[in-house]
Amino acid sequence: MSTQASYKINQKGIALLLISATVLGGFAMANITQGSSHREAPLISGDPKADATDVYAFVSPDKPNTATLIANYLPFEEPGGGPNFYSFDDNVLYEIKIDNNGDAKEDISYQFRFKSSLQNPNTFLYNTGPITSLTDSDFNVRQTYNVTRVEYPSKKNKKLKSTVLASNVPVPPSNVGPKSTPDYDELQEAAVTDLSNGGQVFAGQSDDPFFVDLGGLFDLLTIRELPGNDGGGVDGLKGYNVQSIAIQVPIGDLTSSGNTPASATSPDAVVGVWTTSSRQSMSVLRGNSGKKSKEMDKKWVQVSRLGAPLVNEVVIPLGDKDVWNASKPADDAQFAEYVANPELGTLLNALYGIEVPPQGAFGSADQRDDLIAIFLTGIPGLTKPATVTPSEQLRLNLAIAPTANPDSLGVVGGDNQGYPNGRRLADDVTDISIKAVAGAAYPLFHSEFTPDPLASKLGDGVDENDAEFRSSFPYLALPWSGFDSVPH
Amino acid sequence: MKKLNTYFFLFAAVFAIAISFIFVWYQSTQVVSDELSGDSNSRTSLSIAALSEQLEKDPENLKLTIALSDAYLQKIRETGDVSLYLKIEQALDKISKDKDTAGAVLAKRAEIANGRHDFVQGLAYIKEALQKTPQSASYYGIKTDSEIELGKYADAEISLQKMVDLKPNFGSFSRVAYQRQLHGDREGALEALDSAISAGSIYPENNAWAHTEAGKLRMSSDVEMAKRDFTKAIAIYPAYAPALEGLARVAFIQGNKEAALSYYSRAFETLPVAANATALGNFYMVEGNQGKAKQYYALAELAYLDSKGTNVDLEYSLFLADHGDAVKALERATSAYEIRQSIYTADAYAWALHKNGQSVKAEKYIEEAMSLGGYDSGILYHAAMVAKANGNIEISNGYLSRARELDEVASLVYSQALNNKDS
Repeated sequence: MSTQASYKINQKGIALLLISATVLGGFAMANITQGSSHREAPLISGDPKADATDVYAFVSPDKPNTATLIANYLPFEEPGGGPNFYSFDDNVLYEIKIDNNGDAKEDISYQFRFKSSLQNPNTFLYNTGPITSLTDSDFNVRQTYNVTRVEYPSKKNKKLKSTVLASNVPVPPSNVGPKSTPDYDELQEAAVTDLSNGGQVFAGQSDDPFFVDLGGLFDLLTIRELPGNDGGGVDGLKGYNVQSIAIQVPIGDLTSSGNTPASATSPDAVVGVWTTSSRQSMSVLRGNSGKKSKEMDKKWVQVSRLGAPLVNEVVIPLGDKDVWNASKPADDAQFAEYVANPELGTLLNALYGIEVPPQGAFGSADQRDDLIAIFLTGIPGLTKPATVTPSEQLRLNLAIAPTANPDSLGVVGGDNQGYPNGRRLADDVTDISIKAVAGAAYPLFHSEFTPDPLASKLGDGVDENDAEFRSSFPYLALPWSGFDSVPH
Repeated sequence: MKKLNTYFFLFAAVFAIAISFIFVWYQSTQVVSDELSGDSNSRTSLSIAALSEQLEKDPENLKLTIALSDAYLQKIRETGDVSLYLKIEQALDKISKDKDTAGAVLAKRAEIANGRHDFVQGLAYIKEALQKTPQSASYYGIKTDSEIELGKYADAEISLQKMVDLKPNFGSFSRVAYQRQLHGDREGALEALDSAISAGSIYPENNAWAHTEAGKLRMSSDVEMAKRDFTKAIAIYPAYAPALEGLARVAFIQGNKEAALSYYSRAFETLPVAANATALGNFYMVEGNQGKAKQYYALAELAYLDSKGTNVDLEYSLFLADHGDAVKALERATSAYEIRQSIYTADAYAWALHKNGQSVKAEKYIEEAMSLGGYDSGILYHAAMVAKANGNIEISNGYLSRARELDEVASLVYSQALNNKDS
């Protein structure tokens, strides 16, 4: 039925209804009622702008004396998301944190704070004409940001050191379409900014680099075409954008020694990376509400946390998600059980009859020490720090040089430069994780174990990203344009 | 006898035709409102469809069931269709009651109970859920909602402080705004709403809602800003009924009666609920068109009478006191106040007492309704009428001017509508 036709019937219907309303109790508006005093504030709104989706950390392929760290936020950005399009939240503290001595506490943090402004206060339109540069007056709703490097006290330095690496750095606009944002790639390039430490920084929209059969994964781990190593999956993130924060820094800026590690076995070679986002709490009632509220006012609360991929989605159960997102790596012993005895392992066995390695409670003889290594302590000889407090971080060995022929299966595919040694954009972390849980890496810890032949073939059938990555910083693929994309 | 039969058949035929037209009308409003509400509404529908399909294969999957419940709850926000609560209950009933799942299921049941305005049951469910999952921010949000509606304002402040300390986000900021508003801190409420808007929600309707709330708060101090808030809400979520109602009030205050009527009508057509029918009726009443006003009041009454398992005693009693049977109003108000003693049930009880000639008795309850400071223009207007009836003219005038300061339009519409009706 067309809108117009139904509208006519609608008018007629109302007229008739009004005539007969007093006669006919109870039929009209049968399904509808509403309480007017109950204000019904939304509850299930999520927190998209503070919701970390993925973290990437790798030695930069074109600048091997630097490392690149990327944290993505705001999942499932529909490219045509007017009238606001997409931004970071001015009220969120975004951080990329580094533990460089294995004690599960951050030693370095790169902090990002954003600030929005309207060029023309008389309109809330995103742009008032084509945006041809980052300072174009038609670029109405703008954001800039500051990057600060915080070095926490250590044996070497007793004081917390805070350095502003760049201030008022522009964020490029969302990719609206050819009329609003012509030459979009130039706008993005102009937003890549040099840092005072010799690095570079970028914050803005990009194609979501993660590729995964989300529908299959959450639909009882359905692998559409078994075993899943030859396509057949549906990329649930195809055509979606995210907000990316990317920073490239000299490797010596990340290590405990302050130098580039001499070799992969140097005690300073491995660092752990994770991102957090925090918001300030507020007193429910202002002013007269006593001491307790004042203490809470403006207090920073961590609302999202992310290191290795799929941990929040696959490892942490529903009831613990809030606890997980608010937790610190130093307290990760509370989640060790889920890693040592993973639900996913039981599921792989039940669904596909995979002979997964024995698994049991944390601390028992059957605990999955392979997964504990991958997710909590690092792989010996590759990503395990010299001394380590078990905690969930994306661990990267900075002394392993980039390879000219990367394998998207990373360590599982014999390429030690990839996940779970850090994570590159093209690494197929879903396949790697499923294979790992199925026992593909278990013989490293239990040489007597022979993995199920299927273990090394399992996957979700989505093997590469839907857009091509760029060859230089920030490497991410350009975001999909609103004009050209079909809403999902 | 034969003649009577003929009349009967004639009546039955007219009746049948009318019913079929109403059916078509009802169907068509569904189509119209779906289309007007645009992309986001259909996205909620799409996710309901996708999740339902997945759940058919795996009906005991907790994650999918909770996700489907949330999608339905959002759909109810968008359409006002409370019959969907049944669908959520059907899905929840399939989940077994073992250790990990019970908290999440109980929390959804609490949300449904609150949605049906059974806040006593809602509070009971959510307390049980919190025993199983003590650190869940959203559970504290549900507890806050129950407590506010039960008049447990001190408890609600504590629950909400826990929520916002655990998770400062859209859901907690927008609740902070409401509590501040209840206590008369409009500036603080706007500050909290700004934080909510800045954080944003995954649902466009939620974002439109926050802009609309901001517009309502700004109405008395800056009409142009309020107008922009409502316009922005509609830009985010096309034909958003609460924002259309806001624009109607802006048009009314600016003397543009034609635009006001158009906005009130569109709000009602998009979301044909009792409150929107009453607002349209009030507009006609102020305009002196009593015939039309009564038609829309009749529609509102039909909706209240068939409330699909939702307790509407509070809302219906206020409606009856103004536009209907005062005795019935008192019955409903008494029932509402017996179950929960909030400033709004106290107000409804006082107003119904007043309408039944018991203005002296009403005084105690209208004072209770102002126990948070008296910052609601509707309550203040009732207080003024009660004081006047009791011979306290000076006090009455004081309340009236405060009501006008807080909400010029509502006070004007309210008083004029009542005056016209009384005349």
